[in-house]
Amino acid sequence: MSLSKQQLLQTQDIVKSFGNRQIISGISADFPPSSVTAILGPSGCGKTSFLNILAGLIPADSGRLIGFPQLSFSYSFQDPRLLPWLSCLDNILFALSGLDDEKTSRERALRFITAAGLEAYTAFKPLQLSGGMRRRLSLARAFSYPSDVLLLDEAFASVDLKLRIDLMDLFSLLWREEKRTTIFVTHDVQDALYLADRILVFSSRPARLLDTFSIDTSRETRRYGSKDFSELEERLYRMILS
Amino acid sequence: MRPPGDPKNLTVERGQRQKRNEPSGKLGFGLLGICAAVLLWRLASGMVGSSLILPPPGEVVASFLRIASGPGFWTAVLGSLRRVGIAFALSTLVGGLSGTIAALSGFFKSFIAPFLTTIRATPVLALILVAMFWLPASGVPIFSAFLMAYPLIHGSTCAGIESVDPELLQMATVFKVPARTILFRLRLPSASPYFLTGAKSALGISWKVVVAGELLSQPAFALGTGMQDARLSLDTASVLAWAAATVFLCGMSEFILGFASRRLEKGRMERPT
Repeated sequence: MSLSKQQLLQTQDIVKSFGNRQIISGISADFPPSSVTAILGPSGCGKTSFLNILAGLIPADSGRLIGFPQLSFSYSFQDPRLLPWLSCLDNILFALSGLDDEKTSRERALRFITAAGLEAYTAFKPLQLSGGMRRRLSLARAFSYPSDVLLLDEAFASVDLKLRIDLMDLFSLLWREEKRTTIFVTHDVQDALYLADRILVFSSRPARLLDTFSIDTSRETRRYGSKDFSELEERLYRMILS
Repeated sequence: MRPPGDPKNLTVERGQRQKRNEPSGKLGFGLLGICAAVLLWRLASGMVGSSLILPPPGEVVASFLRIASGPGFWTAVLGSLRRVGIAFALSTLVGGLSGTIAALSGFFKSFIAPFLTTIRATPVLALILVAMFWLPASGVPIFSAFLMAYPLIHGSTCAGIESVDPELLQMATVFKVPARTILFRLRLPSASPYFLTGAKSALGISWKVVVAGELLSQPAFALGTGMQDARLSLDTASVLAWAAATVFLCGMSEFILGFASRRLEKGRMERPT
């Protein structure tokens, strides 16, 4: 699950268009193993398309993916994408059904359901859960699947601030268990500053990589919305709004 | 009184609309509709003045009670019910299976399309008449009803499986879910509302075609046979009584299927108790 420190994950000059409309314009970036990388950019700039290219869900028009094609991915989508007729546990087992060992899959699913605070809801169906619980289940599913890379597409968006922070704390908690290479897409500067080791800033469409920032402060010591990164925050806002 | 266009009127209108949509309100309007139809029938019967052409409602009710208390009625009901059951079960099984295969294989879908178009376009009476050359009297209604109901189930199953949410399929692709699991845990369950709608239509059509088939092929113990015997005796009231029994049974079975499918759908989305 955890990639070796030497494994190179890189994109080189990725270009993608839908019809005549160019979405991504030559993005080259590195993704260090066992790091959390945030892709930050304005809404609709092509961040999700970039994530889908990394996951192999859509092909790039040109450019190279180095290291990615051999990997397995977990994905937490913007919309939780749960099967409404399956229970919480079965939704996770559905995602794990391609794995060989059924007993291990079940144990793993139960471990992450418990970590997500949903142990009392294993038999509940998604429509019986609140929006926040569904998102937690989606995160638990992504973590339960023993992938090399974890992809999160606006997994913390469209919920109130308290729930957003709860979800991000849950992410940090689950992430510490296996320290999986994570790439997450967000349009929120505060989310990126709270969770990421590295921040890639994308321009508005067609997306170009404007800059890359590293955050060395330990994730455990960060506080949401604190002024510790005020200088970086200001630079990020300026870059996104420019 | 508030002037027209006052936003507060909307609340009042919404309340009135809600009241009209209440189950008791619906039942009341339904009963009113039945009373109006019976009254019209009574008036029309009085104007015609001939029981052979249009007997009054009272005469039909009396005929129904006479037939229902006779020895042949319940065996006829059971006979027709058995034929409908067999035709419906066969069409559900074969239609569900072929609809699933068609949704998964473009080749099979194209292969079977002309056959389905031909069945859909064939008049049901022509089908019954041809079947009478091939099959015993009891088999004709079953075969005809199967052929009429099968395309409905096939089409609804196929449409249901094809309309599966592409985002859920994408999720399954990312997690490398095996094709078999995708079929049984994602595609088929998401097709179930379509399948149940198709099944309800197929059940209705099965009743109509089975009784029409019985009417022509004259098997023993059948509603259609009872109807035909009454027609040959120029007993219009009895013909209508047999028809009423058919309508009632068809309505009841559709109601039971609808109720069961609603419970099933609701239960599917809720935690098991």
